[in-house]
Formats: sequence, structure tokens, C-alpha cells
Amino acid sequence: MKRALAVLLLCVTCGCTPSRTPVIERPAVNVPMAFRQRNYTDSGSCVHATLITLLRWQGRVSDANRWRRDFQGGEWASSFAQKLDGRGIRYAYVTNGGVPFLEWACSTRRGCGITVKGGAHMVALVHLDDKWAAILDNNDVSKFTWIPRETLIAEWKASHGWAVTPVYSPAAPLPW
Amino acid sequence: MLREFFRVLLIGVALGLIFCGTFVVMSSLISACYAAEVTTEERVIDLPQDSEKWFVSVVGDAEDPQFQAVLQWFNEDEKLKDLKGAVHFWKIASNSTAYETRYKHNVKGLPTVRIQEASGAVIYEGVGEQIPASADDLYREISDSSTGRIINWPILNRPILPWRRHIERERNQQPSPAPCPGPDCAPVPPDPTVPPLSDGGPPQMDSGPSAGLVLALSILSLLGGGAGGLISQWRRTYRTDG
Repeated sequence: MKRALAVLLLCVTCGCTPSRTPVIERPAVNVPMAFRQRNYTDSGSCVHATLITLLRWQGRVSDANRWRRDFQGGEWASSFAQKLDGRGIRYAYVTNGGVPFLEWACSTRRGCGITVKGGAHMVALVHLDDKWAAILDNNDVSKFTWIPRETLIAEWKASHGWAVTPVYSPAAPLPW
Repeated sequence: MLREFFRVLLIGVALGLIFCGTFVVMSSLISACYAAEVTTEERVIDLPQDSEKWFVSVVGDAEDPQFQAVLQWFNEDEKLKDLKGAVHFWKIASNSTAYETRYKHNVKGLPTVRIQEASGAVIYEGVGEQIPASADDLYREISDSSTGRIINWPILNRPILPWRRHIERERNQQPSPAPCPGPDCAPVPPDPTVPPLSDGGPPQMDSGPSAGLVLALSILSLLGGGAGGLISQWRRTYRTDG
């Protein structure tokens, strides 16, 4: 009787769950190679390339392909918002360097485009935790680049603090 | 007298029908207008705090009738439709890039219905013939798997194992973003008619009997058993045979 009770207690406290190894993806927005859009045109289309990558990650492949076909060149936050509005794309953005926006984008696994290099370039922010950030640069989509969190945030704030992302369902996490 | 009574009754029924008809027509007109407004005026005002939302992936060959049937259930069955609305729902065709890159190496067969927590932990997975033959049964299986136990007491759901505790802590860290529109943003006129995007965590599934009912039944059985034993013992002790 005592043994049965002990087993029951163990079952309750341990949940009787077979131990599975959790798969924690790093970066959180683990964009597959096939979804990554390289920068295009001579004048540079980094904002568009970043958006296209994020749209594909969020399951909007047709929208992404149409965007690739129709838009190129440099962008301002306001003109870009107009284009997104024009296409009926659901999006969110900040231009005030608000770090909580970056945290929201990464914690919901959507990612976001952020300005760097004094505002001359945009890359995709694909991870942000207590210590580290990771970006996917559309000028070299072969790898994620890891940067200390504070360095990344300082760089972003010194680059006009513009961040933008489509707001759809992020890709499902890897199963475990 | 009887004729008068039937005449009044008939008028009453006719008036009732007219009122009902008007109500139905008006309500459908109102919902049509509202739907049109929502679809044409979509703008993000509140960021969805949905980092704990579940994921449902239905994976299969687009030509496979079973895959099509399952997708249809999620569009037509009331409970599955509700579930679909409360999660990140993914329809993954086996010829898509998403399948090649995120599913091909971890599905056991096609079609697959997979329910995951935001952490990636699989709550339910049905593959091929294992997928129930009806929407009701599928919902029941998902519901059973998601509750995992009859009683949903927090103490039973509390993650005890160290790695579960770590995951729980990560989940509870919710940032509070300050998105546009805000004081420093370009002006974006708010549209009060647009509801916020679907927020929230895991969906509410219909589970088995409530904890209260189970507790009451347990106490009742305990009392019944005790009383039975007591009576039996009392009889054995005090009964006089002959």
C-alpha cells in the first residue's frame, strides 16, 4: 500500500511525462535559406529584401513574390508604410528606437527589419535575448551574424531607430 | 366565438413571422457591412501579445482526399473552426518550400495534423490512418491530448522538472511594447471600428468532467464505501444467528 502511494505521488509530482529534449531554436526566427531574400538592384533594395524574407517566414509567399516583382530602391519609413497600406499588408513599425518593439517582434518569433549603419541599411533582426542579438543581412544571406545585445541596440538607435515587420503567423517552431 | 379566436391567432402568427423576418434580414445586412469594413480597413493598432499561442499544422499532399477532408473540418466544424481561430494555423502542402525546410525531416507520414505549444512541444500528432475519421473525433483526441488529465488543478499542471521550469520562466517573460501609433511616430489615424488582432495564449479546449464534479464523486464514493463497510462490520458484530 505504501509503495503504491509512493508511486502515485511520484507520478503526480513528475507529471508522468516521458522526458523529451526541448528543441530551442537559435535564432528564434530561424529563417530557412530558401526564404532568405538577397538584396537586389544596383541602388540597393535592403528594406524590400528584408520585408520579403519576413513575409515568407510568416507564410505570405505570394505577397512576398509580388513585392519582389513590383518594388525596389531605397525607402523612408513613411513611403514604405504607404506602400504596405496600398498592398493591404498587415504591419507594425516604430521610428522611435523603442526596444520593446524589438523584444515583441523576437518573442513572438516574427522578427523585424531594423535600420543600421546610420540609417543607410536595413537588416532583419532574428533574435534578441538578454545578452545577444542576431541579424540576417540581405547583403550576405548565407549566415546569421551574432552581436552583443547592447551593441546592436546602440547601433539601431544611432540609425534613426526604424523597425518594421509584417504581422501574420510566424512559422511553427520545430517539434519536440 | 371559435372563429373569432382562430382569426386573432392567425393575425398573431402572421405578425410574428413579419417581425422575425425583418429581424433576420436586418441582422444579416448589419453583419455583411461589418465584415466588409473589417476586411477593407485592416490596420495594426495593438500588437498581438500572442507569444504563447499554439500552432496547428495540417501537412499533406494537396491532391490527397484525406488531407482535403481534414482541412475542410477546420473550416466547417464549429469546434475545430473555433480552435483554428485561436491558434496560428498552417496549411502545409508537401510541394511547398515550407514543407521542404520545416516539416519534411520531422513528419512521420502524410497527412499529419500536429498541435504544438509555442515552445514547440507537441501536444497532439495524428498521422495518416491514425487521424480520426470525423471532425468530432479529431477534436476529442486533440482535447484529450491537450488536457492530458481529467483534473485541471494548477498543481498538477505545474512544471516540476527542471527543464520545464526553465521553459515556463521564459514563457512568462512578456515584454510590453510601445508600438506605433505613439507620440514619436508618423501620424497613423486610429480606426476604432477595427478590433485588435487575435491575442492570447493557448485556446480553451472543452475538457472532460470538471474538477468539482470529480471531487464530489470521489468524496461520495469514499463516504459510500465507508458507510458500507461500517454497516457490514456492524452487522457482522451484532447479528445474532439463531
